Amino acid sequence: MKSKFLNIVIKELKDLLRDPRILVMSVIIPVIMFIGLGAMFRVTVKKGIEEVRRIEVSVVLVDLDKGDYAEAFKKFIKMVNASYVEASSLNEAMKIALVKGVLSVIVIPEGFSKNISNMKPGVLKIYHLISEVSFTATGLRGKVEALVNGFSRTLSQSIALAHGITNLNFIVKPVVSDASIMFRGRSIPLQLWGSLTGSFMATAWIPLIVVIFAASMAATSIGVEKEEKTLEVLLTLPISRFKLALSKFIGTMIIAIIQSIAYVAGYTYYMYSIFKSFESEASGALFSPFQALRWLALSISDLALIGLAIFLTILLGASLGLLLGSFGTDVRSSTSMVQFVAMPAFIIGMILAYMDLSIMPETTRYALALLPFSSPIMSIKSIFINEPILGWVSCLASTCYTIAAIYGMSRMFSSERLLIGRIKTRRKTLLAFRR
Amino acid sequence: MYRKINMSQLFPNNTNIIVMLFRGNPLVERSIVDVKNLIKNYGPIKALRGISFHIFEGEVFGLIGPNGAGKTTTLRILATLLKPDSGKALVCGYNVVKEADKVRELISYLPEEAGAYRNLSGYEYLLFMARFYAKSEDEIKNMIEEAIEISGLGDRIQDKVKSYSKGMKRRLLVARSLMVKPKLAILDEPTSGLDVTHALHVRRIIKKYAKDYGITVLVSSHNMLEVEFLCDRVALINKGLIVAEGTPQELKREYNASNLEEVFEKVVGGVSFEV
Repeated sequence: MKSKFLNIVIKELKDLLRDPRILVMSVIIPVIMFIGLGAMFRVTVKKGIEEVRRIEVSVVLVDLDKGDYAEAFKKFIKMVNASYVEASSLNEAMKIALVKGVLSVIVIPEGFSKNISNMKPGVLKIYHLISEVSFTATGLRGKVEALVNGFSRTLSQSIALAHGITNLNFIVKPVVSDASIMFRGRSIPLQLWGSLTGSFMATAWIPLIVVIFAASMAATSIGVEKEEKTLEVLLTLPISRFKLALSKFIGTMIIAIIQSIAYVAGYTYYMYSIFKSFESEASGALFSPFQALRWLALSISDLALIGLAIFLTILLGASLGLLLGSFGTDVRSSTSMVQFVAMPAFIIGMILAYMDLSIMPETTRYALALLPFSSPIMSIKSIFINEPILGWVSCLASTCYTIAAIYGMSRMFSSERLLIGRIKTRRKTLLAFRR
Repeated sequence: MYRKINMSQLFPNNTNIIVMLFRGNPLVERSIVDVKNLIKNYGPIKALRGISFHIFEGEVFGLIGPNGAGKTTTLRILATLLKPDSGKALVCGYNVVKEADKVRELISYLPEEAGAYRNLSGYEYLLFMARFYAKSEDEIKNMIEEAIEISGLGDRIQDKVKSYSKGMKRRLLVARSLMVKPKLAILDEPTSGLDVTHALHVRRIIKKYAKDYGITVLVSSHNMLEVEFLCDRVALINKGLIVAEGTPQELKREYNASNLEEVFEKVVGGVSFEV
C-alpha cells in the first residue's frame, strides 16, 4: 500500500508531467531551442570556416609607390597563393572590386618603399567592402590582415638576417612572463585560472535558473488546483494539511529538477557547440566544471558546501513559490507571484557575482551571506577567498528561510485563506468566495 | 410514535449509543451532525446568523434555500474548509475546527463546482482518491469497481478527465464521494449539470447508498423535486437562518402546500435577492 503522502507526490508528478503546457513550455522548448541554436551555430561556423579556408584571398591593389618593397609585396601575394588585380586609383579599385565581387582593396601609398628603406614602418591602407554581415566575411577580412602580417614578418626576417640576427623571436620578445596563481599551496597557470573561475561562476548561475523554475512550478501547481476547482476536495481528504503541503512541495520540486536538468543540458550543449566550433581556432583552453574541479583539487567539504548551497536554494525557491502561489486565485495570478522570488534571486545573484568580497569589511561579508538566494555564489566565492565559513553561514541562513517558508506554507494550507483567496487590507476586505 | 432524542446533547462525545427498539421503531437515534448557533461573517457580510440543526444516522438531510442563503458556507464548515466565527459544529462528536483531522476521516465532500485532475484518467483519479480511505489493495479494487458502476462511465473510465463532458465529470465526482462509503457524505448540488436521466440515476444511487450502507447524507439543492425524492428531512435556510425544518410531509402539511416549492415560496416570501 502506498502511503497517502506518496500518493499525492505521484499524482502531482503525473498531473504536471502530462500537462502539455508545462511539458512544452518548460522542458521541450528549452531543449529544442538550445539544441537548435547550438546546431545552427555549429553548422554556420563550420561552413564559414570551410568557406574561408576554401576561398583564395583576392584583392584589388593600387600601387602608388612603384618601389621595390611594393614589388616584393606583389610577389609575396602570388607566393602565398593569393591573387590580385591592379587598379590605378582607389575609385577604379572600388569599381573593379564591385564588379568582380572582391571584398578588399589594398592601397600601397607613395613613399612606402622609401619609408621601409629608412627603417620607418610602411603603411598599407586596406579598405574592406561590406557585402554581408556574416562569419565568412569576417573570416575573409582576417585573411587579408594575415596576408599583410605575413609579409611584414617575412620582411622582419630578411631585415634581421641582413643584420646577422638569426633568432628573430628572441629579438621581438626577449622577456616573457610565466605567471601562475597560488591556490591553497598549488600553482595554477594564470590563463588556466581565468577559465577555471569563469566556468565556476557560470555554474553558479545554474541554481538561480533552477530556483525560478522551482518557484514557478510550485506556484503553477497550486494555481492549477484553484483554477480546476480540485483544491476544495483535496483539502477535505484525510491527510494532515502539513503532509499535504509537503507532498505538493516535493512533487513540484521533482518536476522543477527535471526541468532544470533539461534546461542545463540544453544550455551546456549550446555552449559546447559554440566552443567546439572554435576549437581549432581558439588558442585558450576550455574547461568543463569537472576538469576545473580536478585542477582546483577541491576537498570533499568544499564540494559538500557547494552541493548543499545549491540544494537549499532550490528548496527555498520551491517553498516560496508554493507559499506565494497560494495567494493567487488561478494559474495566471499564482505564477505572476513568482516574480517576487525571481527578481530578488536574480538581483542578489548579479550583485554577488561581480562584487569583490575580499575587500569588504567582515561584517558586510557576513551580511551578504545572510541574504536569501546568496548561497550558491557565496559558497563558491567563499572557497576561492579561503573563508568557507561564509558559505556555511549562507547555507544556514538559507535553511532558516526555507523552514520559515515551509512553516508559512503549512499555516496557509491550514487556514481558510487558501481556499477563499482572501487578501485583507486595512480598509477593506477583498473577497473571492461564494456563499 | 417515537421521539427522537439527540443523545449527543446529553453526552457530547459519546458516539456509542445503543439503539433501543420500541414497537419496532428506534426509540433513540444517534446524531451524526450537530450544529449549534453557527455564525460566519465574510467581512461585513453575514453569511450565517446562528443556525442549529441535527442530522441522524442514515438520514438524508436536505438544506434548501435561495442563492446566498448560506447553504454552501454551512457545508464548507462541516467539511472542515471554513472556520465558524462562533458556534459549534460536530461530526460524530468530533469538533470540525479542533478535531478537523478526525472529521476528515469520516466525511466525503462534493463541492458544487468541483473539478477532477484533467491529465489523469477517470480510473487514475478514483485510484488516487481511494488510496486515502482504503486499508488494503482489495478494498481499493472494490471501491473503484463500485465507482465505475455508480458513474456509469464504462470503458470511458480509462480516458483522460479532460475529454469528459460536464455531466461525465460530475458523475465521476459523485462516484468518488460515495465509493469511500463515508460516515457522512456532504453533497453540494449533487446533480448540478446532469441531464434528467443521469440526475435520476444519481439520486437513486444516493438513496440506495444511504439505505444499504447506512451513510448519512447532507445535501444542498435548488431542485425541490430532488429534495422531495431524496430527503428524509429538510431545513429551509434563508439569509443565514433556518426558517423551517421537518420532513417534506410535515412541512407541506404545516404550510398547507401541495409541494416543497410552495412551502419554499410561503416561507421565503417569493423571490429573494441578496447582495
